[in-house]
Amino acid sequence: MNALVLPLRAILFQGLFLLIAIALEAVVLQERLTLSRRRSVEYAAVLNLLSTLAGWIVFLILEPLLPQILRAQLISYVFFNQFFSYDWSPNMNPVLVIGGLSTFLGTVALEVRGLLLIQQFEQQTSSIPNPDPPRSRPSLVRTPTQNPNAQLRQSPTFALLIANALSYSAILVILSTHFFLTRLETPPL
Amino acid sequence: MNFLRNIFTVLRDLLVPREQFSWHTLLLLSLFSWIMALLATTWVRNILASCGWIFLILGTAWLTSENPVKKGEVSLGHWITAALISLFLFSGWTAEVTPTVWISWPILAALIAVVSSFIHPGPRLKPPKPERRPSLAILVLSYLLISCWFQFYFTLQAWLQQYPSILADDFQNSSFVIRLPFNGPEAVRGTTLLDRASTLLQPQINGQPWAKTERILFDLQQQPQVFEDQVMQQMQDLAENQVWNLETRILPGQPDYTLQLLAIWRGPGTNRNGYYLQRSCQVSQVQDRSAALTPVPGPANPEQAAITLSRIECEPTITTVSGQPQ
Repeated sequence: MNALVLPLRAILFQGLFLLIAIALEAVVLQERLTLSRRRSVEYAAVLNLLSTLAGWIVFLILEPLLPQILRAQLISYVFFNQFFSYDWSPNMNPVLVIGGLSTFLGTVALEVRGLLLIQQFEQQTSSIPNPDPPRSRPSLVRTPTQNPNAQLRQSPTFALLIANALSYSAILVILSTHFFLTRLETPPL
Repeated sequence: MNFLRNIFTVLRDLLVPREQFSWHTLLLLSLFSWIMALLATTWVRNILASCGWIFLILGTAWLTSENPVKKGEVSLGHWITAALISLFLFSGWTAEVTPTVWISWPILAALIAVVSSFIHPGPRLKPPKPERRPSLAILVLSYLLISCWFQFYFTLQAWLQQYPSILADDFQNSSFVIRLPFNGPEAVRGTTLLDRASTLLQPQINGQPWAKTERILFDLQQQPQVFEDQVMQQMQDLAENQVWNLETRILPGQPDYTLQLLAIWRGPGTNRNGYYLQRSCQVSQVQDRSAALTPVPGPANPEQAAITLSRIECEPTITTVSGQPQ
């Protein structure tokens, strides 16, 4: 082969997205789950790496199984940043929407599960007696602060949902800027 | 005299280890096994070579754990040992660096990092301290991510093997890949398609009677699929054959015809509408005088005097046009 084709841009972009996502999610986790800064960064890093890894594994498993037409569109997107449209090629918009939604929901589900696993693992192996998480603080009298809204605010699922929504929005902003910048350079055909 | 003594001391330091139970011994054992392996024959050679590898791996692991080059949890020694293990396990006897070697390399490096965090000086086996665990987990996950990146490279290679005509295009717009070119642009398989098509047509038309040629041209127009399938069968079976189409246009000229062979690409490319390659061929009538030149004994057959044969001449040049033909 005359040329070496390296996925360096993909690696760069992914590294950038990971850093941004970890930073944003750490902030959200620190606020909502009342963790120390270092611990929230660790959690965010582990969870984001885990979900990125899961995404890659899903992609690498699914890619050979794609029907020929979708695979050709995928190749077109990876190499030329566009989808091609002939009479017989499928409309990619529903594919993109469904893909984006399932990625988001899958990431949130995976991270929630991962966070629970990490917390269980820490409880099992740490010698320090684990302080009760705030939401299960026993009290006979329902204080005004313990209402369902407060419980919802401190639940890890909600925290991860907000965190992921924030990081995905930031990534979308970056991608859209990149998209519009490249489209502005080359006039649409 | 001093010079020789220096050489001897250097050699002695190299060959005789300072302590008995050290990495030096293992590396020497590895060298010894390999030398023995060179002298041995078939299956004994394999065993000795494997022993050599194993000693090398153990020796390197010991050496790098005693003199670590590390920053935080990331240690160069893990990567070196992992590289040796991957080569030993997956590169076979030909020492060929297969994709499996690349992909297993970061995974093994992660495993070695985890295992070495369990070994505390002593040596004792104990789980690592809780403070190190998060960074260890992050390290393992990042190494696995690197392995996925390597696998993605090989996926890209597989794609380019199935769609080689893409390489003739420009990857500037891609947000995934970068291309480091060695030589000039690649050739597009459409040229091969047109070459095969013209090679297939030439014996069918050259030197054949004109009526038969007209029949062939008529069939080409009515059933283009048959000719396309014939040519496609001669092409190397790749996935991109599905996006190549071969079409023919027959333009009536003066008594002769102009046959245009079109190789149409309807696939990925910088041009959203694809492109096509075009080659023109001239199909002309030729008067065959040879029958009139050779005298035929006996009653002359008036129809044999001049037979109209056909000749096809294809231009060697191919033009590339973007978009689809009419």
